[in-house]
Amino acid sequence: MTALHTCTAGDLGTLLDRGEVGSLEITEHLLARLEACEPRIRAFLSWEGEDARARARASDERRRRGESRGPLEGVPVALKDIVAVEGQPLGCASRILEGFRSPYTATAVRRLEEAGAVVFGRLNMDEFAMGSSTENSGYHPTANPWDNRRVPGGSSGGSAAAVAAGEAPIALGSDTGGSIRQPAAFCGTVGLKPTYGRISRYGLVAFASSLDQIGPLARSVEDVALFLDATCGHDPRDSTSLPGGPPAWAGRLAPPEGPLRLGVPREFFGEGLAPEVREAVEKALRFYEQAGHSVEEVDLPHAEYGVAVYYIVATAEASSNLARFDGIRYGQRAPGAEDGIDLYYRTREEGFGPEVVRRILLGTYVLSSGYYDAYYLRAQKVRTLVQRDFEEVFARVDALVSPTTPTVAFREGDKIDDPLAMYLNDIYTIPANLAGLPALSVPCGFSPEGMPIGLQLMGPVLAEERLLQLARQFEEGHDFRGQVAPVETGEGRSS
Amino acid sequence: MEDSATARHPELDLEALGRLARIRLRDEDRAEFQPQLARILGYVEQLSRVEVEGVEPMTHPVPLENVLRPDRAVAPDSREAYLDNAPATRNGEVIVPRVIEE
Amino acid sequence: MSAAWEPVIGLEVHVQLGTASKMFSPVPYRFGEEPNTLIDPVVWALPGSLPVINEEAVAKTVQLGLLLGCEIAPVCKWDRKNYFYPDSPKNYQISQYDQPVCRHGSVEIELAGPSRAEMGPHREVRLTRIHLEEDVGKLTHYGKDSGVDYNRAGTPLVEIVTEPDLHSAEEAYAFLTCLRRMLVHAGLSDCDMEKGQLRCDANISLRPAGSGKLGTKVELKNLNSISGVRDGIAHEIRRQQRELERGNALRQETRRWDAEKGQTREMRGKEEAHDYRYFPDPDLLPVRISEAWKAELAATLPERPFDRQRRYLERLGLPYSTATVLIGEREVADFFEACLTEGGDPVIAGNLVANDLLRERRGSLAELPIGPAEVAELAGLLAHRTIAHATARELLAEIVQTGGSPSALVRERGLEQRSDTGELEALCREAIENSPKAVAQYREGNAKAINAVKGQVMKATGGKADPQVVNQLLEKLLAD
Repeated sequence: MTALHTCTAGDLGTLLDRGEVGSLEITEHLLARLEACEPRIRAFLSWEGEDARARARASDERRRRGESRGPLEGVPVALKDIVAVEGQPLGCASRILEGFRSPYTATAVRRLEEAGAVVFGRLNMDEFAMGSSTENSGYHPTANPWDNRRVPGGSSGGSAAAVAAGEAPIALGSDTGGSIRQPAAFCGTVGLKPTYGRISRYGLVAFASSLDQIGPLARSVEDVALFLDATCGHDPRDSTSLPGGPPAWAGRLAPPEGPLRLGVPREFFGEGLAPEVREAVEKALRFYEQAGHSVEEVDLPHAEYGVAVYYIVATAEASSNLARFDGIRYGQRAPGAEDGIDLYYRTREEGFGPEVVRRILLGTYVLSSGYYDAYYLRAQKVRTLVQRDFEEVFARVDALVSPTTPTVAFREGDKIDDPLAMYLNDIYTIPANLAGLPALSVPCGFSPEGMPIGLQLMGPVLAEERLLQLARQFEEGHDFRGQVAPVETGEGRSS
Repeated sequence: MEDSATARHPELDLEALGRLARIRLRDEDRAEFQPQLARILGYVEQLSRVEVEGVEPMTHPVPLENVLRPDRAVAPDSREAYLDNAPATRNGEVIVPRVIEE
Repeated sequence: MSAAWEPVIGLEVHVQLGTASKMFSPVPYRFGEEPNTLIDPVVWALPGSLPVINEEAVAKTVQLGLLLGCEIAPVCKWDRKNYFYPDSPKNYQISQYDQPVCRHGSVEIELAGPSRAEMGPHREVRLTRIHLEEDVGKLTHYGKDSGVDYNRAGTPLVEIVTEPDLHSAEEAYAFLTCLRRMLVHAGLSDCDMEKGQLRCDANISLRPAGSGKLGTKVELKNLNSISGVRDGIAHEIRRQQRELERGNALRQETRRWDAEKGQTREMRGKEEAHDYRYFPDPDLLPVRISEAWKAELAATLPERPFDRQRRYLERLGLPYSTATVLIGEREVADFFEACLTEGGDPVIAGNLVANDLLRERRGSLAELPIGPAEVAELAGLLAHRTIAHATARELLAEIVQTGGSPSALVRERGLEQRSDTGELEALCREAIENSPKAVAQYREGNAKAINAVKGQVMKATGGKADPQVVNQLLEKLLAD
């Protein structure tokens, strides 16, 4: 039998259905794999093995009674430290939330539980999802499983690394400006950010509320679809949740019917794009042409302003969203405060890392009296123009194809002292967040140094199915599906 | 580049921003953040090139409205799990150092 | 108040709406519960929690706007007001900045009349806006620390802002009284100030009488009772006047009314001018208030109290004092009108309800065994002069306790008023003989002296004589 940690969720489901393996066995195997990988990868902030085993046993019990809840029954799914699970730590990799245990469960997590998944672990991330390398974690960095000196991307770096290292078949991530797709590309996994409003944000700690979306990272397109089938659908607890019930995309992954018109945004192939990335994407475009689709160049004239708009809108919202972290009701409280007001200053100075402070200050500035119109309001208007660009383009093409990132994973420490350079890493992923569009990253090759490269597919609102079908078609024509990074584990027991 | 960006943003008063955001900034923090923020502001300055006359600002990516909840009450949560997370409590209240009000 | 200075006052009134659940989450609010027991992830501002708008709170705000003749926004939106304070769990308050539910409109107020029996002047106080927001928690200050109770946090709150249209503490008092009656009447809030359901801040400035310019404005907080509003504002006006007459310039500041000490004091701790950094709340979508929704909400609104007052005075011919008592509470006015539907005479029924029924009432009228039908019946018995007023009053007091039909009781107990002139004439003659002194006074021109003689007759009949008949008889006999 194949080593369980290399199996996709779909493979595991088949094994479970056939009774060849139980959820507890899978969970034990993954916990062992995790123990073996973590000294090098450090994808997790924490995990509670006993809780995972209890969930796995409950799943096996359901199967025995013939009460399987669906294709994810018994399949482990690891969680980014940004979603609430009742009784479990919820920290966003921030010192300010150290020790906090959530009294409630996020809708997306509850739905995974209701689908039978064994949710486990708290995956590392950039503090409050602010970053593109996971170096901004308040605890420790995470290594890229393909090259431990490199970053896994961010902010869902722990999610991408865990999936790439075979520590979990699927991980939950969140994407505000590329935080699922960029680490997925850096770690050679599939990652999808749904249409804004597809997956409830209830229980997702807010960074930038108008941009944040939960989504999956996995080693196959089918697994991504399985996660979406379980988690998408209207939630009355999230006012921005779109109407409509859960989809059933995992069973509809055959190639798209008829040839599609694929657009290639000229603006995504400009200065700063690494030659090896360009080459891999161009090769992917040729693949699609050979598969019968048409490819044409299109323009997104306002895309170049995406990063600027993003760093105004996202920081403004964040400055307000993060105000609740004050050491009063939960989390860490700084000692020695002279009075209730001083308590804020001390707690927030001690609790937040430098990138979070930078963004709160920037967001406070762009909303402050006298600067609101010039920065925040103007950014909101340009955001409208970015969205209009997409509307016009999607009147002509069915999907957009581009690189996910300008480069492959960079080395640890390369950009951490230059916030702006770090921000520009998200130049291709940000526009989809601004416009609320679905977008995914699928592995499309390796650099000469052996680092994975990601291909981004973007679609009009609610076009997830089309993107999944296109990605699946690409996956079928290549051999990136199910790839696990060759992690050197101490014992070699589970590799 | 940093100098010219700072020069364009003399109004970037970190002390005032720290007060609004309730974050204590030490001198060395301010020395680090000032040029970084000025540079980022210099970068976002490019938005002033965009013609936005008559363009509606975008607050939500979804075109929904009237998302309302019927006025029905459910049982509140038990306070224990909440108070257990609070750094200081007494008799069911959350305790903070004295807040000066008058 | 010297004629040299004219006070200019604007009010900001906060009213908790009477909904079953909070503004943005399905937790109830009740006053006086154990601390931190009316909470959920949203109220506590747990990371990841999200607000969802309570439809009824919006509906009630629209209704308030309709009652006050406001322009109702076709679309209202939600903004975050950012400031840090331990009673504010998110450290921002969800409010409405540039698109409130209501703009303009006015509150009709009545000022004191020359006497209790006479109506005072009415006038309109213009409103600037009414917006919907959420209440904060409650801070209690102890010796060295403070305690926070978030029970109240998230309760729907409307803020009603007036134009600077008020010119005395009495006017402010009248405004709050009239506004409160309107809100309670329409079932929008109980407006119990002791429970903090209605709170008031005032902006007060003085200017030389006749000047068009506004003086330096002082914001006065903590006006936590209706009399506190009157006393606090009156005190602040006197303070400002004193300062100005001493030639001192006033400072723009926030002061706090201390009802116990009877003084206003400057509030400390305002280290900087507020910059609330309002911006549209990305978690909440705009609310479109359609014409159809407005019509639906308007249909369930009661008549305004002053409209009722006018109708009672002009169409029903009620005395001012009766009409004013009846409109004091919607339940009372509705009860009175139900009496009319049951055929009661407006003036008689109005008198019975306003004077006799309200004296006997404990709690809600709906819980009493007496209903509008019984009161209308009593009014009918009075109108036909079947019973005397004293009898009606006694019967009403009894039926309030035990129930029963007034006509049946009158028949059973023989309580009919005596208007048999033969029998009464004999009693009158006897009374005249027994009261030579009063009779002499009457004949000397003191008309009121007849009352003593009349009293004897009423006493002899146990109050059942028809007073009008007795009057006529006495006048006739004494004229002979």
